[in-house]
Amino acid sequence: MKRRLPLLVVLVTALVCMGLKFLNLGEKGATLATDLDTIVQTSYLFAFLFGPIHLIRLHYSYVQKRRPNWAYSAFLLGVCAVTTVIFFINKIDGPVSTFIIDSITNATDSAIYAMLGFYVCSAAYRSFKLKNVEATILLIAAVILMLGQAPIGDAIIPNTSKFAQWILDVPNSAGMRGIRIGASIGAFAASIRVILGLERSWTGSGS
Amino acid sequence: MYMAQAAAAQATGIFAPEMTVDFIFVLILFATVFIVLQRARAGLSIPPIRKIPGLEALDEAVGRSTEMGRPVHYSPGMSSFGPELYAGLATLTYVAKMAAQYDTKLIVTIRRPQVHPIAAEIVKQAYLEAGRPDAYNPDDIRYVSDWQFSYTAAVLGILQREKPAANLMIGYWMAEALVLAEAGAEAGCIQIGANTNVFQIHFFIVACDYTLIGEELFAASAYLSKEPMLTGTVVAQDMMKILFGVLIIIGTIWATAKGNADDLIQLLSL
Repeated sequence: MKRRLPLLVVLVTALVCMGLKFLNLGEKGATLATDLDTIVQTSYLFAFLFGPIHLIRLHYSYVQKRRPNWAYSAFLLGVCAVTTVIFFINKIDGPVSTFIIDSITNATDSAIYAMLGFYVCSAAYRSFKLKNVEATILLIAAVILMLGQAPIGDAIIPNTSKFAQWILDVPNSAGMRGIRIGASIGAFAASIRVILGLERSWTGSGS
Repeated sequence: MYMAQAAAAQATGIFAPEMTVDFIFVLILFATVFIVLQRARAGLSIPPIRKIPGLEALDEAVGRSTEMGRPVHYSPGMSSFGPELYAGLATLTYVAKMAAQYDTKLIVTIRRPQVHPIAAEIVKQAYLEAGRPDAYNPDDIRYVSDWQFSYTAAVLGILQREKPAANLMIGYWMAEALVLAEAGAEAGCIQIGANTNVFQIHFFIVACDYTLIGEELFAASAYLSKEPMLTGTVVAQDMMKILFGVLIIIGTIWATAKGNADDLIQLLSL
């Protein structure tokens, strides 16, 4: 029963959701859909507690046992405590809270994202070596696209920008659409496996 | 919200607006799955799944970690509950069993807090099945952060400090894909990436040793378990792909002959 109940809940919920999606159930359907949304969001909020509780417990044990790099864990716990107190006192839209979000959290987030620029260079350096046929095609396509995006491309070889655009619009789009169609059907088949209870890894019980 | 909006839309008839054709396709896929599953249940032959190098390499990745005495890092991706996460968890089940069997440290980093207890339970179960419940360390299944780049920063730190020998990223990835894959390459990991996001797959292709492209990710559970029932759904999925391929060819001929595809688009928008 402990194993079968979640599977039954999933099956019933999936059938109800499909009914709401495909059938014209009018106002009653709309109300039920709104209620389901509320239930999902509420259960997510409860589940959200798992994360911070685990995080604090884990890093507290690191500090307590003086594991290597425990100072980072102490810093994290300190930041968590200070931020929580500030957000309770100052509220989520207060000036100090806004400063923390805009000037610290978002700024550090952007800094991590900006590292992508350096990683693109290192990845390009490694992958653009003429190792095999595929890498050679990748290199040629990349050179054409880079030249096509810059004004100097057309100055060196006329119509480079048009050819670059053709590469983007035709072979690139065809490949992307193929992957998208395959992935969408695959996602659908995976969902059916979950709905029918064939795929049970999400219950935590393994296969 | 999308469901609520769709249901709230005013319409007449049995089906919600523009959902008739979708419903027919869902029915066809369900019927195909049902037929293939019946064949599998009856013990009749169903076509095998082609070899997927990325999934074959999972053994190699865990084996390499065991030989080097270094941990395996696994992440089921950035998405919340959905097909990509289920595929990521199914692969985690397989990897955790191998790690438990070879007594290799497995670090799992989680972005979504609601996924953490499930991942922890999967790994715990794997250690129980391997007969080593004492080797299970709950501290190795780590919820990191719900923020995309905070998670990325934390995983970068883990890859640099704990130097895993294998970095397995099986799920849905966004802008952090290349950052993590390059950090893994710098740390000397054997890397297996899987993604369905067409804007990020190429990053995995250039930075990882093996990449599962799009639908290959969803075939993971069937491929690894080799259960006929699961394999049957992958066969049904391929049959649907053939159907869509035929429809695309018909659509192309139709649009070429008529000069436009307006009629066809109208028909499929019912």
